[in-house]
Amino acid sequence: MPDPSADPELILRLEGVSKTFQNQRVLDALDLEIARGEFLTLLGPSGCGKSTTLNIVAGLLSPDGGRMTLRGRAADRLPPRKRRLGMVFQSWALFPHMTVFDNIAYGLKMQGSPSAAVVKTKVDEMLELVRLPGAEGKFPSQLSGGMQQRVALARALVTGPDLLLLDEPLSNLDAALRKEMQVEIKRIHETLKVSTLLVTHSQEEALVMSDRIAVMRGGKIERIAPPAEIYADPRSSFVCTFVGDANVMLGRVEALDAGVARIVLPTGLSLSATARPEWTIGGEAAFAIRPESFAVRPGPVEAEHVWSATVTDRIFKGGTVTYELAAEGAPHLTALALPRAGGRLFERGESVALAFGRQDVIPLADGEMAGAAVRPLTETV
Amino acid sequence: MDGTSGLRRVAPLLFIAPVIVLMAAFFALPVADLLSMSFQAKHPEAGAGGFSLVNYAKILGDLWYWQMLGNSLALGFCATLTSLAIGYAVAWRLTHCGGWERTLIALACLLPIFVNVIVGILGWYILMLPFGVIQQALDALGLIHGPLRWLRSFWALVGVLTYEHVPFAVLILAASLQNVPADKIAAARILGASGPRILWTVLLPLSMPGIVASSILVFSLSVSSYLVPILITGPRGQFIPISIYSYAAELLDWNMAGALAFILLVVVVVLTYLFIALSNRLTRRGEWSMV
Repeated sequence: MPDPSADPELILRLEGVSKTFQNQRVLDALDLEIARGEFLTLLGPSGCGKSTTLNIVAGLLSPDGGRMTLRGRAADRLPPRKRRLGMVFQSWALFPHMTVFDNIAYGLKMQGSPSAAVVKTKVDEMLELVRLPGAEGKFPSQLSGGMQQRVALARALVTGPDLLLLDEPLSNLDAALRKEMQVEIKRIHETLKVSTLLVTHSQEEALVMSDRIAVMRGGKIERIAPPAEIYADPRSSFVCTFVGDANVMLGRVEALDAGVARIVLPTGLSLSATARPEWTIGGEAAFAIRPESFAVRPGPVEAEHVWSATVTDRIFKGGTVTYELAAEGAPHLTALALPRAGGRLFERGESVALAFGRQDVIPLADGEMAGAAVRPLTETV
Repeated sequence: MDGTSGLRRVAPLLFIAPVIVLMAAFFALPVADLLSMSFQAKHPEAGAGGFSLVNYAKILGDLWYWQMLGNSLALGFCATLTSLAIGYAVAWRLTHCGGWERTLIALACLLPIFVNVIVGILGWYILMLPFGVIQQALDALGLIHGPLRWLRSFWALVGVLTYEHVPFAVLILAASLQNVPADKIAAARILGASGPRILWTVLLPLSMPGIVASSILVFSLSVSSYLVPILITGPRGQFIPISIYSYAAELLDWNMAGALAFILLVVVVVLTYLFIALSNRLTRRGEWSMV
């Protein structure tokens, strides 16, 4: 019987990998697979185990238990230099005493002894790819942060690694450069089709670049899915609030009919939602509504659900306006509106109607994050 | 003019004034005196003025002194090499361990500095005697037969000088290795470099300032050491400091002693300069800075 882990199309496979630091379990029987050419992101808050996972894949840390295969072959005991990986560090870790050329050529020279002509051709190709032609004679300290980042990428890619590891590679850049490099990395990934594992705590990076996102928490993967799917159906309230913003609420199931639940909030507001299988009549039900799912209207409107609310705060950001609202029994709601240029904005204290449909209600498995203040949408890190 | 700006310009000088005064009184003046003495014959012929090259002619024209200089430099060279090799390994361990191990290494480095030099040397003396602890143990194991005359050898001297100077090398090198970021080493590992190649291509160039500083310190201390050679090899040891001492204290020929001392000083300064220049060229220092 063929071993499924021997599939060469499977670039990386972690099975039951665990790691404990000083009696603290950092990774708890983690399973993870990356297919050839896939861009997978480990997303989570600090301390969730995402960097530990990356370092175990790189061979810089050894796990306490579990199995790891690279391209279908057991890699648990391989030293880092034999794993055929490329890695971009948070600090980029360029060799400051080597020129850009020597930095990029380093891996080629260490993994064999190609002729000078071959090295030159490959380094030139990489400089072209990361759009840094002409920089080969410079030292890293003579380059801007964005350029150093590009050199680090070129150095990691020049050997044609099976898997590219990116450890918070953009966190040292300013906001504008970060956006630019997100697009750059995505472009390079699409050009080379190199399997990539990104570690980040930024939902924006994860959403923009990934084929799949694995949201980690407490040493486990809580949800793994493509970006759109994870946003639309996060399943847990943690994932729901970590990927995107959400108004998470808790109610009680009043009626269940053909997969649709009627939920009542403590103060009498009610709504219907697609029911989760574990929901029972009279039981608790957690759900979320994304800020952009609310339509904020000045007066009575026709919609499946209409809640009346009062504007408590307004954050104007040009293209979008965020309203903080209080409805009866739901004192901390957030709604995102796209105002027409020159259109009227609602004032603090003004009464408005919040309209939404059944499809806007995201059923959740838990209400842990219920009532937690929605993070401001200015979040960029 | 503006009084405060004048004060501001003078203030930094006030801070270094004590050092300048000390250096002038106890280093520059004596060296200048020594230098002028070395250019005078001990027994100037009547009518000949003060200036004479007779001491230098005597030294440079005699193969004996050239051999002695060679011995001293070889000693400094070997002691520097062994001190740095051992010191580098210990410093690496020191920067990558924690808890009790760190304390132990730091203590082991400081103790030889606290122990009186002569006591330390006599300890080695006892260890290396023909019927000392080491030789008896080796003899009992059947590894050597009969006593060996280590004590007065060149290598015994290298060993004791290494023991004396390793602590300084460790402390300087540890400070330097601490500044080499761990992720640069991790990057080299992932890019396919083996341990020795990481050492050669990343670690050594990035810790070069510490290597240069500790080399200069160990080399100049070893070349000019008097106590160690006089206690280990005795007054017959052919090393410049022993000769300087015997000219100055026994033969009362300060002029020859001055000339020898000055030659040693010049040779050490020139070698140090060449070493710094070479290491700067090899690591292209000054063109890059740490990122």
